[in-house]
Amino acid sequence: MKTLLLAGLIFSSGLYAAPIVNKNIATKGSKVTIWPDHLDSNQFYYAPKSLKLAKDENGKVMFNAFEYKMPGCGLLKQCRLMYMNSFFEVDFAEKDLNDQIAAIMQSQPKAKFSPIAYMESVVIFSNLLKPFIADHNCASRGGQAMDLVPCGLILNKKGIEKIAMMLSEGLPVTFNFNYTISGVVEGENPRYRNEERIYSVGVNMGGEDLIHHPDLDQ
Amino acid sequence: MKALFILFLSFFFSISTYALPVVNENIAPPGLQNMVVWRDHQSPSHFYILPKGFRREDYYQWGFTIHKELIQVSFRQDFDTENIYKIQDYFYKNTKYPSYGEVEFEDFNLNLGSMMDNFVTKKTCYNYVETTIAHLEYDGDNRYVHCRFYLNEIGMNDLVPFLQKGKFLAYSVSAKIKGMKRLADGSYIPVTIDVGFPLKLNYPKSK
Repeated sequence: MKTLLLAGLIFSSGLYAAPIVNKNIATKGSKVTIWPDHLDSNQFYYAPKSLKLAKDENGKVMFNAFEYKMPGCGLLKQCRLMYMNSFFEVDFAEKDLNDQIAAIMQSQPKAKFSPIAYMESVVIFSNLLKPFIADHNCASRGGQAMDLVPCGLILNKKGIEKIAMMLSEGLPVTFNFNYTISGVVEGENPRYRNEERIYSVGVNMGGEDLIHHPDLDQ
Repeated sequence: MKALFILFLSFFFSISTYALPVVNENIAPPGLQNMVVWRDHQSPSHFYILPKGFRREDYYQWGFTIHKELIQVSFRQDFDTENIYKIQDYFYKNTKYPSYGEVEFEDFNLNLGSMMDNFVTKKTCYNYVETTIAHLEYDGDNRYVHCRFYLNEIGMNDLVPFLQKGKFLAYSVSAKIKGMKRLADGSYIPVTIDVGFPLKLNYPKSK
């Protein structure tokens, strides 16, 4: 039984193992992080640079918003609220990443590259935005690197005046995204030690896609 | 649909041999790394494919004198069926007798929070603890979430017209997954991870 289990482990351990998280092999100055695998010299993992507004299959930015008033407030602007919805996707700094991959492929033509696997991920919503917000569901659990991350905000009057205006002018509103990875640290004895690390990257709501977005310029 | 059928058929046939997914290694084949594929920690030929999120399946809307307007909406796990074919093809060529399964979810929650409260008089997709799904069922090949929203005036006058313009609301589903973490020496330890899946509430295009 033990032999069978061992055989199963050896067979299944094949190509994929764990990133060496203290060994970023990307060129100095690059925006990307690339870790080698601790078992397979041809396997590499790349990490996200940040999260940006996602685009759907038609290239349309996944953001929308509408304004509404609470009942009984007549023409009072204080009662206005704005429900804002967005999905975010990972930004791997593709140009930099492709340059790094091309450089590695020159010396290792069989090299394979995968987005890093998260153990867990979560959006950390900024407390600084709270004065502008009536409600939100942005501090949600995330999935894996290639999964969309949802965020819904209900802006209050102050939020409509400041946040919606900032976004409409192309200015960013940012918060954080934390992800946990399980990797190894390379040392001397033992050569590899297990290590779980939490990394934080920025979530960037905004940019040129939202400049004079029709839902913001109401 | 055929891919899903094969996926879940193989799940039922392989249920006696699988153990737990290795959750710190995504072994999605090259070119399909937008998918998450975990392997089993005991069976080298058993794989788990994670959904990309939840998509709206059904959307019904009725008018009532008392409740004014009722929306009933269902969400289904969203697997990229085209990529599932490619994954199956890859493992068929590279693994002996591959089989596939669904990952078991625990504490499966639709996280509406209070974001819908301004638009509804009542919502019944949870009924005991806030953000806990009351109605989760299997129909043999998928998981569903059902919600009923009884709209108030703002819901009818602002939310529904917004959705009818092709817009969406962004929510998430969270779950706990029991799995195994592979360590540097090749051994495994049991872990439970918290994961989130995006959920998009939108209006049917044909309506």
